[in-house]
Amino acid sequence: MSHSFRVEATADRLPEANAGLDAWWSGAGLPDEARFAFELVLEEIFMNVVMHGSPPEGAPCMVDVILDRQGDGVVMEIADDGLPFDPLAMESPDTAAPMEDRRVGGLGVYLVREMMDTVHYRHSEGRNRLSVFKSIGST
Amino acid sequence: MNVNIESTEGGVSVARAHGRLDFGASAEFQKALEGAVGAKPKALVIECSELEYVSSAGLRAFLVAARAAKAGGVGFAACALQPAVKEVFEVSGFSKIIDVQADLATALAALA
Repeated sequence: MSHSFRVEATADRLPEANAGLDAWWSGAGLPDEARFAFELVLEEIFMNVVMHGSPPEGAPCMVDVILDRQGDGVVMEIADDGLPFDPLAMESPDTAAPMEDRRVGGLGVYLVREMMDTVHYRHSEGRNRLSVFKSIGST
Repeated sequence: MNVNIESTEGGVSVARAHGRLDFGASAEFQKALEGAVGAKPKALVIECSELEYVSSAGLRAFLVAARAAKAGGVGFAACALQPAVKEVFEVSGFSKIIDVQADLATALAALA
């Protein structure tokens, strides 16, 4: 059965978003070692919404996180009602660049792509919806 | 999270990182490391055995500190990474630009 929660998209609410994920994860009895990747993805996407989602003036947008088991893994959708923004369109960093040339822009989204099995973005019904899936092995 | 910095007899500073290095913790972590580099030790080792989590914001703090160390002629290494943190270092390519050692003893020997 899916579980969802809503958090206001401000940087100081990141711990609240993470706590929502952890509560579901523990309640579902899923292995701790597989949780890290989902916490990472949630932080990266949540912070992207904080940075890019809310209009310059007006209230911060809201983020909905929807979690569910799917096959041998977990599917997580992160949706927001902010400005249309496709994080997957961001340019990937050059992970082979030397330290001096290493740029940090796009690193978070790069990690999201690499740590998950599948990542999809769509904009529908006025909402950004990023959906990720990762197998967590047999449980 | 918190970070405790201590000096060894060999003039190397060791920063022990505890907890979660997320967006909220990254600015303070970066400041602590920059302060440690600014004290001009021979080298700075980030001991990560108690570091449970790192995101891209945390990686940025590592990168800024490593650059400051390089500019200041201070050796720099991270050691004792937990598996999940190590995976993030590897996936991001940071293990190619930051010296990652298996444990503190190995790091101190490499920087001696």
